[in-house]
Amino acid sequence: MSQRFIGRALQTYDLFVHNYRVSAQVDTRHRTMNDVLNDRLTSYLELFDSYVSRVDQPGRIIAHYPQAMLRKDGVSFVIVPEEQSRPSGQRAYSYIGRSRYEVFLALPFIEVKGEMFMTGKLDLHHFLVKETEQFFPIGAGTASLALSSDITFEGEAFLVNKERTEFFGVTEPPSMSTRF
Amino acid sequence: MATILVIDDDPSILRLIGVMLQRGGFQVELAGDGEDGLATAFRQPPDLVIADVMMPGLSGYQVCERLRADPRTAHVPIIILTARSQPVDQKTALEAGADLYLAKPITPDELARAVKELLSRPTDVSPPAATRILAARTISVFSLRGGVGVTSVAVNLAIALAQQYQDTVPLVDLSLSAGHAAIMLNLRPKQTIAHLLASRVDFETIEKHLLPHPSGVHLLAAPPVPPPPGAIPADAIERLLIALKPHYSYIVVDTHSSLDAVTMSVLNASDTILLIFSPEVLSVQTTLATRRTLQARGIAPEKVLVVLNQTMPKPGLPLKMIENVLKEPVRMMLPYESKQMQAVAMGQPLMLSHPALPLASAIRAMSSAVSVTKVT
Repeated sequence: MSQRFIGRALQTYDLFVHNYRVSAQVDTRHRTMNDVLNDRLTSYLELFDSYVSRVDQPGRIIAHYPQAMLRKDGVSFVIVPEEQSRPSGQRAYSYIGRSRYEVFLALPFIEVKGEMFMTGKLDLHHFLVKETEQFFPIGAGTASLALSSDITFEGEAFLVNKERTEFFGVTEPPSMSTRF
Repeated sequence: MATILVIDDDPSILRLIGVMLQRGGFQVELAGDGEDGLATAFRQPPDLVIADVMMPGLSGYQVCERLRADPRTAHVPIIILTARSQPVDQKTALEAGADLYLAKPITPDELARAVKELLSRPTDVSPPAATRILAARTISVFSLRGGVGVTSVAVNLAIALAQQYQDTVPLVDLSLSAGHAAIMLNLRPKQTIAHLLASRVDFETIEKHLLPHPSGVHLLAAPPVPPPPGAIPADAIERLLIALKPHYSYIVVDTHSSLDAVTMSVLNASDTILLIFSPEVLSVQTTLATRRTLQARGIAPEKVLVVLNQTMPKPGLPLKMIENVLKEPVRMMLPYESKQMQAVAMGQPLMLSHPALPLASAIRAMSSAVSVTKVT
């Protein structure tokens, strides 16, 4: 892939939209991907050098576009490096005072498993309804096709679209005393 | 000093990897896209290739498949270096014939280690085969207009494929009104497709009706005179092609110049249809109508490749005009060759009698272009 725009913070991401995997460069303008996706002032992501694959044949490139736009609403999840999964300025995860939850998410055609670290007890309703961030991070994520579980995707972190999450299951931490 | 060819469309990555390798003591060739990379590799095979995946035009997987398919470069170790870092990408790279898959970003030490590991591999170890390439592709050669060189192209294409892959290539002559493929190959078939269809259509029976030619082409000949109507049913042809598929890498079909049921069944079963035309008004117009008709009958447009066959010494219609009428670029062109008539008369196809001629080179290029399966 080529970086034709000097001075921009272009990085390659795997974005998953409905039935497609789009590998493309996104200019995060020196913010994190969490910031970019959760920026309510923009509804679209501008993509550069997009390579599109169908999600059931994710290794096969079916199209290439030097420029494209992606509706944020349409994004199911994005695979990101760990440091891109949190808001800019937030420190790296501190395990003190946080509980680890294993999560299982059902998105259109894809299931995601991973972990979340939350302070205190996780109130799912509050998390999904009251918190305003549309995209939330999942650590140590693995995604697989619901109808073909041998096709998997993994990464340090996923940013998952709440509005595309149809089922959100969590396991309780072994005990509250396992807080670090 | 080992020579390493690096193929990446990102100039900064290309320079960076080039510098890394030069500091490691290697000689480096750089190519900015897949086509350029292949041309460089075929001209002077390197000791190792490093290819990006996500490139406009040919992807790294396609470059890998073509390098493995060509005898000049089949032995060259290949590293796929890509920002696509999922398990499926590694699997795809290895299936395309890569020796090693590395994810970007990569440190100079990691790259040097990988390169040294591959270069120190014993030369008697066979490189990985591209497991999905050469998977029984059926290539039909067709035109609704006679006299544009369909049979000549089919015969020479089959020979080019047989030579390129050192493999047997069946040529099925379904130009049922004439049976010219046998004449062009200087073969005298005792058994034709009509005899075959009178018995059970299975591979063992088909094999007995295939007439071998020294080039590696095995001809299933058409009858020398047109058969009675209905003697060659379309469903029997379909069964024939299905029976051949598991046993060969490529099948070439010389088709009849009509869209009858037999021809349609062949075109439906084909992976690629070479639509031949000559640079004159009626042929161009027929080609345009043929494309529309094929699409209307459910043939996927991407299967159809137009091929301009310069059958006359005079230039004919300008290329730009032809492309404007067809509304697509003409990517395959076969130049006029005065020796072609002699080759037909002597039963010595040009690919064998005059392999250095521009027409033979063009057919070899066409053979390379149609022979690579897209990554699935």
